[in-house]
Amino acid sequence: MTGFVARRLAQMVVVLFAVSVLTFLIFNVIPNGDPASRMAGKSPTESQVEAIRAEWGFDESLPVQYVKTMEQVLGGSAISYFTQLNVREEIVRGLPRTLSLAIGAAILWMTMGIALGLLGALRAGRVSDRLLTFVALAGVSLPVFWLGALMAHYLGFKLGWFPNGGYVPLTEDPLDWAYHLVLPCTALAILFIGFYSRVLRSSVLDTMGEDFVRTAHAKGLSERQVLLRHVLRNSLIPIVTLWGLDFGAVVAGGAILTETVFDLQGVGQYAAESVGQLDVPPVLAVTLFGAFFIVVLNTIVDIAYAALDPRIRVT
Amino acid sequence: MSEPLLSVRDLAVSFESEDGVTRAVDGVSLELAPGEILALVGESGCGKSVTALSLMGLLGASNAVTTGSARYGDSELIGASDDTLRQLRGEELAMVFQDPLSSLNPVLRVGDQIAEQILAHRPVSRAEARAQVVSLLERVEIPQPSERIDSYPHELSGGMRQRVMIAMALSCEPRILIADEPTTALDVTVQAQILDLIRELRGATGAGVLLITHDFGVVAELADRVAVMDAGQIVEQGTVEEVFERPQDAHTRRLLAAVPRLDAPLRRRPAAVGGDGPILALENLEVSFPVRGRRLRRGGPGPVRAVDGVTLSIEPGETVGLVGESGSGKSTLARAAVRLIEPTAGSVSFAGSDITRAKRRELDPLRAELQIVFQDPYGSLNPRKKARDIVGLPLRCNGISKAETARRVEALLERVGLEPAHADRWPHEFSGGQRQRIGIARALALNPRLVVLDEPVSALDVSVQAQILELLDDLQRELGLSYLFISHDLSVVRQVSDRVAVMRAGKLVEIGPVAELYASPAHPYTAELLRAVPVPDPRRRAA
Repeated sequence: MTGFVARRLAQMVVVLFAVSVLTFLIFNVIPNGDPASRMAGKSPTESQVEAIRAEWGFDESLPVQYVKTMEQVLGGSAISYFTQLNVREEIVRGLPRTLSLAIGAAILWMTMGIALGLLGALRAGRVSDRLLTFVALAGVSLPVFWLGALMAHYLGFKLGWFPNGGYVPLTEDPLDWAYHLVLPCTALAILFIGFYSRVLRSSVLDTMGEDFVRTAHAKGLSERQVLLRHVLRNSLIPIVTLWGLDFGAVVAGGAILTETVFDLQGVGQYAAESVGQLDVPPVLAVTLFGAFFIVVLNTIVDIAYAALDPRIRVT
Repeated sequence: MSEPLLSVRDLAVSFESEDGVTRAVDGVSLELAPGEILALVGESGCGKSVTALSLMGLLGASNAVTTGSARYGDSELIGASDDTLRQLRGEELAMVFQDPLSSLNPVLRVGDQIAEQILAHRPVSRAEARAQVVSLLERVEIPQPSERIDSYPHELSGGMRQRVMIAMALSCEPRILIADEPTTALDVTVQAQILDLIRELRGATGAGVLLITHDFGVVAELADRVAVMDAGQIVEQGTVEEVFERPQDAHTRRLLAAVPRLDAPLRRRPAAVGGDGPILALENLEVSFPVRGRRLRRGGPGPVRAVDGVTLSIEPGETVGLVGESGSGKSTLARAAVRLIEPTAGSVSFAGSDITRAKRRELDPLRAELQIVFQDPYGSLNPRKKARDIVGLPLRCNGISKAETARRVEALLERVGLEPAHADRWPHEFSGGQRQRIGIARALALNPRLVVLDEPVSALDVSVQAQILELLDDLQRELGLSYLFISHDLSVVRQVSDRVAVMRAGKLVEIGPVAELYASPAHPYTAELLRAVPVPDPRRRAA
């Protein structure tokens, strides 16, 4: 186990290095990418641009710039080229919002995905199964910016049942915090519910054909015991794999659209705005944070495998 | 005869599909008395397993239609409600399945899987159930039951797993035990132990046992009465002595004649051994596999030596049989001998030249002369290719024209007893025996001198097995082939081999001419193997 974690940490260093170099290079070769001329404002003089270049170190070689920027990003002193705000503070401000959204949505999509997947498998081939298939496909096909906007408009703005976007910190008012999250979490989860219920349905159907399920019936167990003790646990592995990837991606800024539609001002929204301005320090910081989080989450998923299936050893 | 425990009348099971109705079981009637072992014997697809599963209500297919009657005491099993069946299953009727690995839930501890059944039928606490499980494990002779109770199935050997399945079946003291091929997935020495256990438990509990098997050796060892099935019907029923000594039905006689026996006269003519030295020579061959993920731990187990210093040679025209239990390294040896996997140490010489370190380009021309046939005729043919392409591919790879390939493929198919018209069929359209014939035709396509046969008949029914063995014998005589014949079945190896080698844990423990080795084995392990083989003769039943 210690060896496993140590190897994963070593892998993570390599991944983070590669991700940071690539991100840094991409933003330096993009046309119009020169930050100095954009920071200097409208129609600047050549000497103004030069001055900014010297002040921010844009006149040094790329490797030197990379090392300096990385020092600032990792040390927490990096500031945005355009807003001049500290990048770390911005991420720390956005993180609780993004985490609240991601965790809430993940709980929703896991429970609903598993419940609907089980139901579909039990009713396989019948009308209710076909109906569930249709609903799942519809959920997968609805774009979140459209669905989210509709929900915000009708349920939030017109009917006033839910707050019209925004975020209240958990520490301030837990009830209001949850109340504000209902719509965004639902909008984000619907896509995943459709997807997860399909995967679980086919996984459950596969497991039901296994010999050990026949053994369980031969023991005289009830349908419910067979399903929960023998079928479900053996069907969960593909879901856990997916969850590790999806949850990581959502926390790492993958919920940009949901965050924007509901104006949550989370990490994703911050990243999207920074990319639009070709603002390298926040983009680097968010990307690194995202890569870090995904690697950590996948490590956790691998440990979860071993807990679900004793034949798998973490090595 | 006392009141029967179970009486089955006109049981029929058919499966309805778009292609019509298949009658898998067609009017089966039988009775099982308390304390009796009734063997239901027949070849694959004869309907014996479907009969057993339908009694338990475990067919599981929604398109199955079951008619007829099966009375257990006052209950009718056929058409009974789910609730009634659930109460009977595990409590009154218990079942042991063929493959104990796939029949146990891989993610639950074996003790919990047994306890679950007790808890479903008895008003006991978890602690009481656990205590019962320990004594059950003890009863099926699992060593250290209080530790083994917390093992997962993959941590146990095949024999132990089947003991767990038997303990599970016995946990609620059922009146009827249905055992569906309970020893087919096990090694011969383990099989002997499990058969002993079933015999002993029948005596101790007085339960009736319905034993489903394809193996006449097992029937002769264990059964009191025998029912022979063919195409969904019982063609003959009687005491084990009657059926073995005076079989009435033609199908029974055919099956019995096809069973390879350790006591049959040796039919094999001495090998026409050529003079140019051995065709294949293995010298201190060693194959090791690294144990994954243990590299960092010091003092852990080193690499696994699957083949450990084997020296063996095969003369032209000779058949060397290689026997051993699962995991003894037989298949690894076969693959290393044809360089499908790389030997770790030692040497492989083919027709006098050392090919141990031969490069691919040097090896390619030799591949034609050195062929292999695999065990599983289902898994080893590409399901997306027609027979023509499977057999023809080695020819096409060696630059033979399309027209010539087509001609030769048809000749090869005829040579192995198929029709030229079969060339355009897909693998799934063939029976198991026919598929194995295709595998043999493919191996013969390039006129090899040596064919390695890795369990070529173990997946086949005895009657089909006999045909394939005959085909191999004919081919050898006509084409002067040498065989390395690998099998776990000592009777089959005895029938086909000139010399026999016995493998255990990667090492060759004994090698010698077939008559000597079987008559007076030099190594105690060989003797143990021979003793464990069930003899298809009820009069010679082990006491």
